[in-house]
Amino acid sequence: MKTLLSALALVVGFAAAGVAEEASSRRVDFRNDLIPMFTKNGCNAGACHGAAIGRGGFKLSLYGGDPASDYEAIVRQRQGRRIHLLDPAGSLIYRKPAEYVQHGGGAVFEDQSESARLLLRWIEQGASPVSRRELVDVAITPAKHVSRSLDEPIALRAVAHYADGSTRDVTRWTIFKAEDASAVAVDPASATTRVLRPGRHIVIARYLNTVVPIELVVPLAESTIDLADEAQSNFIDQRVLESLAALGLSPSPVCDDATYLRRVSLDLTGRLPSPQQVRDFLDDDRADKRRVLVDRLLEGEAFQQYWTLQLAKLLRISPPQGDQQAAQAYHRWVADQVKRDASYRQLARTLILASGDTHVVGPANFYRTTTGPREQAEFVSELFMGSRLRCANCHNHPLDRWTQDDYHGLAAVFAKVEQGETVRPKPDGQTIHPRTLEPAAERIPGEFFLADSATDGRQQFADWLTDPANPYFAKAIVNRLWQRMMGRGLVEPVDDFRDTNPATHPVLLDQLAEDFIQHGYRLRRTLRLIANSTTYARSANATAENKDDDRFYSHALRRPLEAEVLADAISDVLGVADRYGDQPVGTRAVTLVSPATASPALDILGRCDRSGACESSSRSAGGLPQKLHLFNGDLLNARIAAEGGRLERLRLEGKRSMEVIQAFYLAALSRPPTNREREHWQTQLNGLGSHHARQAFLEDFVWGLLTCEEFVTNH
Amino acid sequence: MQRHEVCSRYLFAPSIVLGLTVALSVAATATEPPITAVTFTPDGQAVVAVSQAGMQVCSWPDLKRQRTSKASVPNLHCAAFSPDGQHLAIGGGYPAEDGSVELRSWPAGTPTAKLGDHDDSVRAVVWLDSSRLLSASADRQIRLWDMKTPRELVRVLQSHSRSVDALCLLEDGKTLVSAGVDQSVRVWDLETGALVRSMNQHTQGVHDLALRPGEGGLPMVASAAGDRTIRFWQPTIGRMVRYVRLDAMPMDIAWRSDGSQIVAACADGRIRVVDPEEVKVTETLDAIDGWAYAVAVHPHQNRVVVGGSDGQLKKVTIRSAGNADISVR
Amino acid sequence: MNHLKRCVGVVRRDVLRIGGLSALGIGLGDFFRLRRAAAAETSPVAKAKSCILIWLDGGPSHLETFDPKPDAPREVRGPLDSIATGIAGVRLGECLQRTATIMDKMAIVRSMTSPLGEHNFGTHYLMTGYKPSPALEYPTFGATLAHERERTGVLPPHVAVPEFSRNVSGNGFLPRGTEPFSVGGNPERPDFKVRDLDFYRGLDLDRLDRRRRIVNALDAFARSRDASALSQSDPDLEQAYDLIASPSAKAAFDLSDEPASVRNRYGRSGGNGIGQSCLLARRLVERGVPFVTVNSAGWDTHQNIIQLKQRYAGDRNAHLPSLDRAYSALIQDLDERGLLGETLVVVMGEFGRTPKINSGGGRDHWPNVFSVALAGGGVKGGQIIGSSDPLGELPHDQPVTPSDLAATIYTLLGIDPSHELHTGDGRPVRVAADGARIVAQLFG
Repeated sequence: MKTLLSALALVVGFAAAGVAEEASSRRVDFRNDLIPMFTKNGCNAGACHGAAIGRGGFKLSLYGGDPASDYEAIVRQRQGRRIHLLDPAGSLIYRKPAEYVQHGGGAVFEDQSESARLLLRWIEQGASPVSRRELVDVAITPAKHVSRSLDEPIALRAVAHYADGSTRDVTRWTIFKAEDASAVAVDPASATTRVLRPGRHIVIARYLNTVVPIELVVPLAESTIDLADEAQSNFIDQRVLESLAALGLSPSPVCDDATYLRRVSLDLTGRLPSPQQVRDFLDDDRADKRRVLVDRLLEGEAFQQYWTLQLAKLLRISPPQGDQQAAQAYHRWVADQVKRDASYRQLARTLILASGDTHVVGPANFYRTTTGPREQAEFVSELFMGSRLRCANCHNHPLDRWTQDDYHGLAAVFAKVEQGETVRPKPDGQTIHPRTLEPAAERIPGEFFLADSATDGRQQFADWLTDPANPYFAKAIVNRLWQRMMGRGLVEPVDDFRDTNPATHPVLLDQLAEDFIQHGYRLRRTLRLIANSTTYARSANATAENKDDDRFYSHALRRPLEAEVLADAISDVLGVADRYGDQPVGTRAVTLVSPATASPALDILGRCDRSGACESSSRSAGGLPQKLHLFNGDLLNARIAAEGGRLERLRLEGKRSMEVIQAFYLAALSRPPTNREREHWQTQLNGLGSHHARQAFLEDFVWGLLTCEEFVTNH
Repeated sequence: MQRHEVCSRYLFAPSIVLGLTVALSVAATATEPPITAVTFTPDGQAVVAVSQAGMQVCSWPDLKRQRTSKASVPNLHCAAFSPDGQHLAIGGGYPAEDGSVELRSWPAGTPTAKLGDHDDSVRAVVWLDSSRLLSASADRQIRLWDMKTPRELVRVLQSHSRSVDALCLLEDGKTLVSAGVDQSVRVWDLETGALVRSMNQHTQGVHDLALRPGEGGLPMVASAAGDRTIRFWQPTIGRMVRYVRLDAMPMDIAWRSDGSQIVAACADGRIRVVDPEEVKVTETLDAIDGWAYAVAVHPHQNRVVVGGSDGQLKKVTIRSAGNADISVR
Repeated sequence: MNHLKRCVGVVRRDVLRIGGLSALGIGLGDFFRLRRAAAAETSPVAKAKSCILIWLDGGPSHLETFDPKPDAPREVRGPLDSIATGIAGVRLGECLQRTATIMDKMAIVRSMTSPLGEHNFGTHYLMTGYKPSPALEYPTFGATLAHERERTGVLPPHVAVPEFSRNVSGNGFLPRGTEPFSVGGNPERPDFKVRDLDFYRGLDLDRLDRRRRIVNALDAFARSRDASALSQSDPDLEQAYDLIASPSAKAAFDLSDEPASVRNRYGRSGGNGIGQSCLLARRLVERGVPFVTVNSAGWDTHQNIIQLKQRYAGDRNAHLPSLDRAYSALIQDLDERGLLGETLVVVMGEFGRTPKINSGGGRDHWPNVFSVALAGGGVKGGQIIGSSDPLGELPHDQPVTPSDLAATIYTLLGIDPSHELHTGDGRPVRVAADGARIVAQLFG
């Protein structure tokens, strides 16, 4: 009898074990199965239940960033009414997306779909929160694909890797989205993509919290191009040419001396070269004259003034609450840093750690740039990390790694600084975390929380930020330097670094950053490197083959001049200075400390008020009102024929009309007129009889010169 | 000893153990729906607990299941005995679709009527007298019914902007206090159906309300909310008297019969006993492995019954307090 | 019994009791789709030549304007009351008294819905019909209209009074000439003048003409070897010249040409110049400008919503009364001049506001449901389209997205929503988003 019972017990036991094992191999895992299902179906997107306030009283974490709270919301909240353990198909969490009950989000899945079956099975199996394995990584392939032809289907694949060593294909739970839907078509059902237009395009792949860009390239040229014979001055040229070759883009030739002179003078000093400098440069026949020119420009006072302005715009220097004295102190300090070619690393550290009377300690004004700790966190992240933390205020950043804890944690660091006329530590300063409703814990974004007892939040942040291993700091600044010189950042917008917004030339960016770090974080070093490259010197004249390229540097980009630079250029050409506020006559616009200095000229030319980042050029500074003003307003008309101006002076010197025209070409366009141009103007002049008529013509000519595209742009 | 006898002796126990262990581990993965409401029967000898599984009656204090039954209303959230002890009202519904209250005669437990027609689950039910009761629903409405005319709605009280989750009647039989997801505690005049006032101090949804027993002074009502506070109100004058912060969300509250303490079932599975005068937690006791959703205090014993996740029902003894004369039966 | 009719014409609960619509062979989604398809069958006829968009910048509260909720709890209803209009059952916010008398000319869509609750995103979506995208900035209605319509006259085809919103680029990927011309200044001021329309002393039209031709010559020389050269001269310069050269065009901007009685009717003060801006808009459309945006700022009322009605005792120029005055004056003026039939007038902002009054006595951003008012240009008046739920939180029926609205506005203006525009690098982009549905009920 006992034997029989033993045998029976064993049979029952092992049968049960067999069932259990089979069941566990089909057990639906909340974190690894359901959360991806919700993400793929868009349930936890920012437009739906992933919104900061959720939808219809049901809140999920954005893109499944917080599975524990999602579990509570689904299983425990509202007395568990969203699931029905005894009647899974009666669960609200199933009935709504299957649209058996009215659902604001409509029908999300069919009731026989894999999504629905997963959900029901999970509830049948007891709605357990237990996960069998922990996701470590998702490998998404291809990372980059180059095809010769359009419309070729490219298979995309996502494989999840778990801590126990196992892997699983999760392609069907991965969302693939083309950044530009007219260039790339994605078929979600088969997880394939086809390129519809030549060029380089990005598809964003998302599985749970992993967001990865996939690069798809179809070269513009039919056959491969060989750029081995192109001149290369440094690693910049190597990287750029590699990229052009891969894309089949043949570059425009290098620009002529006059063009180079004007371009590099504007980029490094914000000034036009003087007519004498033009003549000297064109006459110079040394082989290395361009290098010598660059060296000379980098050492002059004009460079210091212009690059102080650049840093002032970056730092958004503006009199806080009208406090001119503070802005002056700040500006003076920045000018001094530029003059000494100070380490940018040191500059950043000094700013972050600054304290004191803002009238005396210039860098302390860093904390008067914004009105609160959250705004300061946004400003600091955009400035020094090139990254927009601001989306993470209300929820974890949808496209990037930043969490709400990162945002409010950084704000908590700045909450401990008193932002007033005297900047000083405020040990009990705090900012409330909107989710916990408690004071936010200080945190190094993306890294770690500071200890509760820590009193040196700023120090820790500064140390982390400026550490040579920090992935953001050096890249953010060299990218901006690149943008100033080349017209477009390797990452655009320059304050929007994120995994899903990759650089056009990632290796080049890394190399520029590394070089910058190795050489003491000095701005002049990188500017010199760029200015000396062949890439920088390309002509702005596009060829038929490369005219659609706007980001691979096959030709130089034409860029409008900044308001301050244009205003000074106009004054220089006309030979009559403009008045700015109550600054002494002759003050150059680029040296003005306050962006609010009264100046109708700078207003009409569209100067940046520095209330936000100055880099976004979405608002076109031009348009009909500006042209009306140029025609009928004071900006040009009041000074063209003014006493003491260039035109007047040349007239008094008895110069003939054609000589006047030539002189103005040199002054404004930094080149002599071509023969064709000369002929054209001569013809115009020949038709004019009286001296008065010729005078009027010359005034009109000067006006035209200062309005034409070649003058108002850097090219 | 013969060989097969030796085998069977040495194999018997381990086999049983092995078999049971495996069988139990399989069984352990199947879970029951949580208990959402508990109430003692009028004679204090049994406990009624409701959930998605239906209604169960368990003997007290051993909590042995005596009978279970499925109700005509699924997804039950509340249960309340009529003042004369002759009827039990249990409320629930189809979430986002329908809500109703089933009435059962007591002690027979036979269903006698169904009141309903809310557009979402009934979350709370309270008896006005022996034939009239009020139901509060996730459809934001509070409805007044007369058992004698179940098809006829006597009155609708509409003002909450979200689900109404709790009801509490004052002793005057004329004043109703309600609360819910919109974070407000509202006071109504039942004779006219008018809203008297709305008190808005809670910063998250309110889960439960409970009238403090005892005589003398203004009526006091306690509320428990997702903001982890229990607040004490005087609804007839619209004043929040004081409040206490807890470490976990209180889901359900119940006063001791002498009004000296209030017990809260919390989302960390524990119950907390709160002194309403000193506004502090005097005892924290483990009860449920998971979330505790429901609590009821025995009319004259210092024991409570707690219901929560996975169908758990637990009995917990609390310390006596103050000058209450507690006797154990 | 309180049956809430969820499916139009079918009582939801009954349907669900018989096992759901799936028993009938279609899901709820299909059900709605079929109904919408049926509604869109008749193709509407375009009548509007011009459009005046009264843009209430900041997100105007739907509950204080076009969709009051008198029966809702006080914290939803807000501090203002509602008034009846000429149309039975239709009530408006108490400050819109004059507007209530012209309800027969208006159609209000009360079920607008959008997911975008930030100013820049919401403004982009409402003004272009497209959600903002990192790949592309889309053109606003005025720019598209300027691009598609043949230019008649020299007035800029797309004008903003006094300034265009800073939250969106007016022309997106369309050429520069289509961007809005902001008249600038403050139309309320007695010395209001559009800047720089009169010749600089000593200059005349011939000189300006020569200057213009010199610039064109210089530009042509400069770009002679650039394959990406633009073939035409600077459009802004040309447009500026043409405008200066036309005395009648310049006169369009002169408000002192209007009698005081007319100026008073529109309102001389309040709502950020909305009265005189609407008057200027009328003058411009009268002279053939196809699209005018009147920008009224200050509707982002996070605090003290009562200030929309009055800011201090005796205030008659707060935003709501000013809007009421200006809007009703505009509609009636257009009607009296026989222009209403061909002038579409749209009143909207980037989203609505939260149904529950916040702790500051105001309302916060709420894109989930809001209202848009349309009149003229062939719109069938005297109707409400769609509705929000009793608390003003979500669309109750007939949700209309900003894409749908854009497709409808374009159709009213005679532009096919499926017509393709082209970006600078030749990419085709539909005028209105794919899948946008025309709200057929708006057409008379």
